[in-house]
Amino acid sequence: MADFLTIAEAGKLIAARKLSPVELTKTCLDRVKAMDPVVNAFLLVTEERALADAKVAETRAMGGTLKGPLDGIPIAHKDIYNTAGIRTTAHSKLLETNVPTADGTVVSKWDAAGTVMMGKLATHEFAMGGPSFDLPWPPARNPWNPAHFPAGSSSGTGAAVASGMILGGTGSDTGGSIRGPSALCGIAGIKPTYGLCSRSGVLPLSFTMDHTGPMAWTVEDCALLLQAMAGYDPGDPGSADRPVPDFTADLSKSIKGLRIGVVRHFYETDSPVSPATKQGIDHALTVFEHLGAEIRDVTLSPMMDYHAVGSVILTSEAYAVHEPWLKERFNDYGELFRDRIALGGFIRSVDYVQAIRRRRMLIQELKDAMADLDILVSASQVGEAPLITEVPKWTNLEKPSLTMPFNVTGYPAMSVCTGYGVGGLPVCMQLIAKPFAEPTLFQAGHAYERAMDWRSKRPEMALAL
Amino acid sequence: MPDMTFAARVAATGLSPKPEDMPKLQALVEDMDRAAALVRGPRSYAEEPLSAFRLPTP
Repeated sequence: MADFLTIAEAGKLIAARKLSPVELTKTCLDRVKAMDPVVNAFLLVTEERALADAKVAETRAMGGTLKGPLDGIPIAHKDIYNTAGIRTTAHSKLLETNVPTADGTVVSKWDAAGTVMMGKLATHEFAMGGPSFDLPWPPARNPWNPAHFPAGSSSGTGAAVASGMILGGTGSDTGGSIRGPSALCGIAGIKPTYGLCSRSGVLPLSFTMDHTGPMAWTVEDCALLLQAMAGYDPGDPGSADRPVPDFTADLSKSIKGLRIGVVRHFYETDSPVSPATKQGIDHALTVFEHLGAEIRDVTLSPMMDYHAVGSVILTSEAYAVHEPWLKERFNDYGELFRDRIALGGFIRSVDYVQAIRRRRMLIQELKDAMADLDILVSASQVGEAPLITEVPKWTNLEKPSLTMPFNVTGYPAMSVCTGYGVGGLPVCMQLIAKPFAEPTLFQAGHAYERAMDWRSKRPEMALAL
Repeated sequence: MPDMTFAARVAATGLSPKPEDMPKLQALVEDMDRAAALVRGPRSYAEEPLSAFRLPTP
């Protein structure tokens, strides 16, 4: 089987007519056939569509009319992204037979960029809760060790990218659903600034916390995917009407002088991480310093404050989305989603309003803290992936989420792999930038990845093929 | 809402969880109540929420 290629590498080879999109797609389909019966990353494989897309891309390649660096690249979509004529289920019994009539905006954009659509990917039910074993499809598993959790809710995307079944995919992030699976599956994933990428045609969970974003093997690939994903969309009321920068123009620029703040209390005291995770972050800070960055600690409100605000808002808004179905078909939901979403019925309106008042204060706090900083560094997950059978059903105030603060504030945040822990599973860090400063985020993440060798390692099950 | 029993609060939502799920749901609701208490902190009466009413520019 062919080597594992990044999107950047494959794109260059396709442009040079040294790699056939059809052969690349067949390689990915072979990996799906070999690994997915164990990994469960796909809810639906659209093989015929993928081969048809690849053939068209190949014609463009041969004719010198490629659409760009994503032309002929195999991707797949989280199964909350509407795909015209292709089943979109949210991994739920409630939408088991749902076939949208139109593509979501991001799906259309990636299609227009020439991507090869491989299918629809596993998620936690309606992008919340999980892993669930009482849904029509099994949960995705971690390709580094299938007995372990890939995190979620963009679990299928994380697992499929890490195992090389696809080169990139879509995720969505309401409390950490891109950064969590990116972290535990050892890939890169960015939750962009709120409003940068359209959510039109993506099943909603929480209107003011939902973000769409890309997941891929490297930071550079995330930048390439985001380029074809970002932009104003009048169909999304939260969409920001502003120009989209070139995300790869400064990717390889030196980070000398970059000002980095470390939110140490988030991962040392508020939600303590494993020794391997802490060691990975400490070492990354040394690498950044070596590359010329200036580093200092920064203190924000306790992470529990961010978590409380996020929980009240997310749960209230999700309940507003699901209330009619909850009243009619409560027991058709899986247990985990049902338990979590039902809480929304117990939140008083005054508490929701107080939460969005507090949210404004937290955004101001983060803005002030970053006034003379370019990047923040924190953890993204507490450690390596747990066994899939031992995942706590519910994060609570005593164990606040490391990712939630940047859904509450809308700031762009990215998971980057920082090595492997004692169990051989990936560990990671989280990088955060100012609103719409994704180019800086990519620059820092790319500089770190180039300085380390972590991207040369793949799950054994993928290497064994 | 300490003045209402949990069963009454469930009834007020219109949801129908299974009886065996009630203790678990109650524990989760108590955690959410703690989160809600945490966001109620003191602030000026005039402090606007994040989503202040703004009309789109014509």
